[in-house]
Amino acid sequence: MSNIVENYADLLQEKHLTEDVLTSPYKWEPVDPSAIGEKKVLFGICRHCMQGDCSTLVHIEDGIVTKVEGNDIPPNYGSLCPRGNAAIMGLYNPYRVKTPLMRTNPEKGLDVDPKWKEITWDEALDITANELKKAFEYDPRSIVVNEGWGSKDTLLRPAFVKAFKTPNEVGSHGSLCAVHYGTGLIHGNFPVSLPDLEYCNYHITIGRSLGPNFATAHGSKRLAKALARGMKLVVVDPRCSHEASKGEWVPIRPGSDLAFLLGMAHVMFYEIDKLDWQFLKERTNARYLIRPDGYYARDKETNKPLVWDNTSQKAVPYDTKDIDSPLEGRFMVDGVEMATGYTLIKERFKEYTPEWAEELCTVPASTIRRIANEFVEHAQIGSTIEIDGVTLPFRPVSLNMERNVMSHRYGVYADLVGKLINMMVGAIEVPGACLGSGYRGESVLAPTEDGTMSPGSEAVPVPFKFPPDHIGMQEFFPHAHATPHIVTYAVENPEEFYLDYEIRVWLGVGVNMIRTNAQPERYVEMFKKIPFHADIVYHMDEQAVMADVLLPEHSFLERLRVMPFFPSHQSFDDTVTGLQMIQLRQPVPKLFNTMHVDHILMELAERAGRMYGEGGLLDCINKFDCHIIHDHGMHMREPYLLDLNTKYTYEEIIDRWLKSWKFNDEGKGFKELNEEGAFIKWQPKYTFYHYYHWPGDSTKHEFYFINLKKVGDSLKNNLRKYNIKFPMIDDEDYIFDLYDPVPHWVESSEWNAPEEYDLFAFNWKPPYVSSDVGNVIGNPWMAELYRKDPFEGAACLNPRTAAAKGLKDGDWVRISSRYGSIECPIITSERFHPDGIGISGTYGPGNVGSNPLNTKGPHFNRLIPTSIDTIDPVSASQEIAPKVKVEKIPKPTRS
Amino acid sequence: MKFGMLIDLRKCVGCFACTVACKAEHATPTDISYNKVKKYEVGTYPSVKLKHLPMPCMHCDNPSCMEVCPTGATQKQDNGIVTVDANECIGCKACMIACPYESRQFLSEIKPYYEGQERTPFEVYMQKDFQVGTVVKCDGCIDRVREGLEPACVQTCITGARIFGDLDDPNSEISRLIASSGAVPFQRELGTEPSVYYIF
Amino acid sequence: MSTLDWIIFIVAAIVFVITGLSILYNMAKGGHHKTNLTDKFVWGINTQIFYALSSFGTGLMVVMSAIILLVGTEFLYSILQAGNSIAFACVLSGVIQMGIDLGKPQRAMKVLFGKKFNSPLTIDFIALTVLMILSIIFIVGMGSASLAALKIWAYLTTLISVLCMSTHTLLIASRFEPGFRSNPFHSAETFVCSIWSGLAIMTLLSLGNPLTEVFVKMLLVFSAASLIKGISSVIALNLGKSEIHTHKKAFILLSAITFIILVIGDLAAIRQGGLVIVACLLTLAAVIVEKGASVIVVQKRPVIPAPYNKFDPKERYVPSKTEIGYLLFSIALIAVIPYGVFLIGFGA
Repeated sequence: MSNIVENYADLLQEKHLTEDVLTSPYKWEPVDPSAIGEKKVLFGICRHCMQGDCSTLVHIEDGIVTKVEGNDIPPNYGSLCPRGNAAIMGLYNPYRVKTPLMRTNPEKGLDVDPKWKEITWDEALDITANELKKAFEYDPRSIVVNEGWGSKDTLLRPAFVKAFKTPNEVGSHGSLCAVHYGTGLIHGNFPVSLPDLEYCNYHITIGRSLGPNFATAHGSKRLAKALARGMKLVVVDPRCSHEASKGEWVPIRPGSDLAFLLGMAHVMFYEIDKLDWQFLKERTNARYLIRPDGYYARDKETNKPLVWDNTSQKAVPYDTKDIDSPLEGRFMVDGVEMATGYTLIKERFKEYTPEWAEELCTVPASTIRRIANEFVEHAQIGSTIEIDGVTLPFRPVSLNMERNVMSHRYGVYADLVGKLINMMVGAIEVPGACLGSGYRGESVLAPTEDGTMSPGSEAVPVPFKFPPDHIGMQEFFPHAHATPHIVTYAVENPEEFYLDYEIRVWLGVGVNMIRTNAQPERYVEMFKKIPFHADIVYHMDEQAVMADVLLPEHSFLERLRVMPFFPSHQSFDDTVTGLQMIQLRQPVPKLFNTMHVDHILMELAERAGRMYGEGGLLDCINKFDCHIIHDHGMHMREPYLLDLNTKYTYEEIIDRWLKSWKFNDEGKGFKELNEEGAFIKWQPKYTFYHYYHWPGDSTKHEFYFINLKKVGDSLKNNLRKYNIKFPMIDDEDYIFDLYDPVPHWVESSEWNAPEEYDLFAFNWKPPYVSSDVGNVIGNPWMAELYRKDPFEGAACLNPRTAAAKGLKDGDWVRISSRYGSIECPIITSERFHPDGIGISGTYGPGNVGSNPLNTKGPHFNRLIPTSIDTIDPVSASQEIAPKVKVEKIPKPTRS
Repeated sequence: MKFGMLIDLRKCVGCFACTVACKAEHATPTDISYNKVKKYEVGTYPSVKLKHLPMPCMHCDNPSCMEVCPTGATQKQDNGIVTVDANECIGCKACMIACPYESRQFLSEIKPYYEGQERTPFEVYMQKDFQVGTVVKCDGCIDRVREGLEPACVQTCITGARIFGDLDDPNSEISRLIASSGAVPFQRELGTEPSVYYIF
Repeated sequence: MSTLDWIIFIVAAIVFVITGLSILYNMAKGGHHKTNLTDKFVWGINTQIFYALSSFGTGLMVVMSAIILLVGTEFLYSILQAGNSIAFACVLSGVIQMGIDLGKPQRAMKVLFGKKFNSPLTIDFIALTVLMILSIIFIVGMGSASLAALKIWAYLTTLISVLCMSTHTLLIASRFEPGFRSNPFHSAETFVCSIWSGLAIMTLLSLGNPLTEVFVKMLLVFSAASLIKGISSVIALNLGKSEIHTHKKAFILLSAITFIILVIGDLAAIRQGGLVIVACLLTLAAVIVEKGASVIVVQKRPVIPAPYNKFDPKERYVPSKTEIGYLLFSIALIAVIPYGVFLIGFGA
C-alpha cells in the first residue's frame, strides 16, 4: 500500500492543485522574444516508432518548430513516415505532464482522480531518491526499474539499474513480442532475424512487418526496391495486409502458424531431394549422434560429440578429417542404439504432412507443397556470389517470423522450425538469406568445444537461484524476454513464488504496462500494493495515473540524443549493410518544466548516493556493454574512462563515449558531431555476413536444439534440488514439454476452448500508429486519419462469417474471450480469414486526466491471458490469438 | 519548368506519410487535407488485394475549376501549378462542384488541432494566411518548387513512389519514366489534362 | 388601403426584419458551419430554393413580357405590377439564399470585376442583377410608359430571363458526368419549368379576370411539356445508366397529376375555382422538387468512381435550423415586397 499521501502530508499542504486541461484549456506561453527572427535547422532523430532511428532535420523559425522532415543520410535517406511527420504535435501537446506532480488522493484507480499537486524538481527528486536509498538499504532487489518503448532514448538507464544493484529491470514490451530465442540460438544475435533484401529472390514473411504494415521509412523503401527488382514475396497472414497485397497472400487460421511451418518442413524432409546437404553436414550438429537420453554421444578421451563414420564403421569425434559421415541413420555405439540429430527430427516430423497441417491451419496442402518447393528452388543451393572480391555462398531465400507466430504456447518451437527450414537450404548468415540483426562481428558465430557456436543474447539462460532474485521470475523462465505479467502474479502471491523480499520502490521510465500488456485490472491491483511508485512520464497515461510521484520528461524533440545505429529492424540491403553510424538529435528549446530523462537519472543516482565510487553510476557507465551491439555502441575505454569521483555533465559523458567509439579513428567528439550531424562509417560489406568470419565447417549452428534441452533439464534438476514446484503449475510436463530439443506440435491454450468461443481474435498494428511510441494515438494529425478509416476501432470479419452470425457492417458487438471482453462495431471485408476476427491497433482502457483520444477504441489486449498456464514456458510469451465469442449488442448512444 | 508528378501505384503502400507531410508543411486546419489517399479492395477471398490511390491536386492543363471561378481567384501559374488566391476567393464553391478529383475543400472554420483546447503556437504561427470562408487546395508546394525543392509529399514518400519533375523537359526523369511505363493520368477521359500521372 | 392593410404590412415587415437580421447575426457569429453543408454537399436547400425562386421569377418575367407584347397594357396593369413585384421578390430572395452560401459574402462584388465571363456564376450574377434592375424600373416607372417603351422593356426582359434560365444549368453541368441531362447546355427542362411556374403564379394572381382562361390553357400545354420533358430525361438517364432519383419521380408524378387535373377541368369547362388553384400550387411544388434533383441529388453521386470510393463515408444532407430559417425569411420577403409595392401603389 502506498503511504505517500500520509508521509508527505505536510509538504503537500502548502502546494496547489495542478490545473486540469480537460476542463480549462491550456494557455500557451508566448514565444521567447529573443527567438524572433531566428531561423535554424537542427539535426534530429525521430522517435515515433520502435525503431526510432530515422535521421531528420528540424526547422525552427521565430522560436516555433515549424517542420520535421527526413534528412538525406542513412538510414532513411530523406524519407519519413507519417508519424515522423507528425512529431511537432507531440511537442505542442497540451496533455503533457508539464511539471513534477505528487498525488494527494490515497485512493488509486484508472478512473480515480489522483488530485495531483505541483511540487518542485528538488522536492520530487529528493523524495524519489530518498525512497530509492531506503529501498537500497533494505534490499536492492526491492527496487524495480520498469521500462518501455518510451525509454529507448535513454543512454544511462541500464547503467542506472546496475548502480542500484537490482536485477529487477522489468520491461513492459516483451511478453507480447518474445521473438528472440531462435535468433539468439542460431544467429547468436538480438533482437530478430532479417532477410537480406538486396539479393533475396523469395521471401516468406509470417506474423511480422517488413515495413509497409508498420509504415516504417527505411524498411518500406528496401522492400519496394526488392519488389521492383523482382523478388517474390509470400505473406502468410489471417489478413490480406498492405504487405500481403504486394505479393502472394496465403490466408491462414489465426494461431495455427506452427502447423503450417511443420507441414512445410515435412515437405522439405520427405518430398524434396535437393536440400543443402553440405550446409547440414558441415555447418550444423545434425550429424551428431544422440544418446537415448537426448544428449550428445561423446568421445571418451576428448569428450567431443561423436558422429558416425561409414568408412571405419564406428563413431568418431565430429571434427575428424576425411570421413564419410552420414546425416541420417541409426547406429550401434557401444551396444547402444543412437540416431543422428537429423534422424530424430525427421522421424518426429513424419506425421506432420501437409494434409495434417491443412486440417489445423486451413492452408491447402497443395499450397504448402508448392511454397516449400518454390522456396528450395529459389535457394539456388550450391551457388556462390562475389562481393568485393570475396566469394560467399549465395542463398537468396529467407523465411522470417515474429510476434504473431511466436506469441503462443508453442512460440519458441515455431521460431525454431522456421530456423530448421532456413537451415535446410543453407540460408543462414550468407548473402540473400536470413541474418541476425544486432551485432555484426567476428565473435558472434565463434564455436565452442562442441563445434557449435555458443548461444547469444536470450538463448543464454539466466542462472537459477533459490530463493529467486528476479521479481519477474527469470530463474523459472531463463530464456524469457520480459515477464511483466509474471510480476503481477509474484506480487500477488509472494509465497507461491518463493519471494523473500517485497517490492518497495517502483520506478517507471517511459512505460505503460496497463495499456500495452493484458488484463489491465491485474496491473491496476498490483500498483495499488506498491509502497512507492514514481514514473518518468511524457503524458498522463494509465500507468502515470497510478503513480505517487510524476517526474515529467521532455518530448523527444526536446531531448538531446546521441546514439549508435542498431543494425535494423525489418530487413537489410545495401543502404544499411556494413553501416556503422552515430546519430545526433539536437534538442529544441523545452516548452514546459520538464527534464531530460538521463538528467533525472543522474540526479536520482547522486541524491541517493549511488553516483560515485565503485559500483556507482559512473563506474557502471564505464563498464557498460550494450546487450545488442556490444563494443559497437557505448563502450568507454581508456583514456576516456570516467573518474569515479568527479561530477560530469551529460554532454561530457557523451563526448567521452564518442571519443571511445570503436570506429572513431579521428578522435572526434561532441563538438564535431554537432557540426557534422552524424558520424558515418562503412565496414566492408562482406564482413556483414557472418559466414565470412567462420566459413566452411569452422563453426556450426544447432539443428538438434541441445541447448534447449540442457536448460530444461537444468531447471528440472533445480526444482528437485530445492524440492519446489514450478509456481502456479501443477503438472510439470506442461512446462517441460516445451524444452524438447526436437520441436513438435503443441496445442496453444486456446485450441481446446469451449465451443461457444468459435473465432480466433487477432491483432495488428496499423500504419497510422505502429506501436504507439510517443502517444501517436493521441496525436491529432494521426487521429484525423485513423478516425476516418473504417477498419480502425472496429472488428473485421469475413462477410460470410458475419452473415452466418446475422451481423452486418456497423452492428455493435461484444467480443469476449475467457479473460476479458471489449465492445466495438464490426466491418466486413474479403481480406479476412473466415475463422478470425481482427482488431487493429493500440487502443487502451483510458484513464482520468488523459487526452480524450486515448480513451477511445477497443482495447484488444483485454482479450489476452496472462496466467502461466497459457504462456510459452520458454520465452514467457503471451497468447496473442485468444478464442472469442461474438454477440450483438445495441448501438451505444452518443455521449 | 512545368510541374509534373508521377505516382507509381505498384510502390504505394498506403502509409499516408504524404498526407501528413503536406499537413505539416502547410499547417492545414483540422479536417482539411490537400492530399488524400483512397483506400479500396479488389477481388474476393482469398484472391483479394488492398490498394491505395493517393491524390494530390492534379494541376490540370485544362482545369474545370478555373473555368467556373467567377472572380478569377483560381489561376494557373507559369510553372503549371493551379493556385487559389485567398484574397480573391468569395467562397462560392463552384470550383468544388466542377472538380472531378475532389481536390478542393471549403474552409468553414479553423478549429484547434487538439479538440477542446486552444490553438498551439505552431497553429497560431503557421495558419496566418488561411481565411475562413474560402476554398483551399493543394498548391503544389509552390514555395518549395520555386526554391528548387521537391514538394513535401514527394520527398517524404517512404517507398519512393512519387517522382517530381519538369514535364516540359523530355529528358527529365519524369518524362522518361512516363514514356517508358505508359503512365496515364487518373480519369483522363474527362479531358481536364492532369499533370499527375499514375502507373497503375 | 385601409388601416388594417397597413397594420398587417408593418407587422409582417417587422417580423421579416427581425427574423432576417437575427439569422444574419447568427450566421456572422457562428460562421458558415451553421449550415449542414460539407465538402460533399456544397450546395443544399439554399441553392435548391435559389433555383426554384429564380425559376419562378424568370418565368414570371417572360410571361409578363409575352402579355405586354401580345396585348399591351390593356390587360389590367395591377396584375402585371403584382406579378412583377412577386418576380422581383423571388429573384431577390433567391439571390439572398445564394448569398448566405458564399464563404465571403462581403466580397461578392469581386464577381463583377473578375472579368471571368466564361464562368456561369459571373453571367448568372450579372444577368440577375440586370433582371432586378429591369424589375425595379417596371415597379417605379412603367405605369405611365408608352407602348414602345414597354415593348423595349419586354424584349430586354425576355432575353435576360432566358439567359438566367440557361446559366443555371451550366452551374451544375460543370461537373463532368454522363446522363445527367439529355443536353448539357440550356436544358429544355429548366426552360419549361420556368415558364410553367411563371404561368402558375400569373394564373393565381389573375383569378376572376376573363383572361385567366388563357393562362389556364397555357398552363395545361406547359404541364404536358413538363411531363414529356420529365419522361424523356428519364429515358436519357436510363440510356446513361444513371440512377433515377426520387425527386425526379416526384416531379413526373406531380406533372402528371397537374396535367390530368387541368384536362379534367378543361373538359368540364371549369375556368376558375379550387381545381385551378390546386393545379397552380402543384405546379409550384413540382418545380421546387425538380430543382432538388438538380442540386442535392446530383451531389450525392460519388465524384470518384468505384472501386476507389469504397470506403468513403456515406454522407447525408439534412438542412440545418439556420438554413430553414433563411428559407422562411425568403418566403416572408416574397410576401412583404409585393404587398409593400401594392400599398405604396406605384403608378396606377
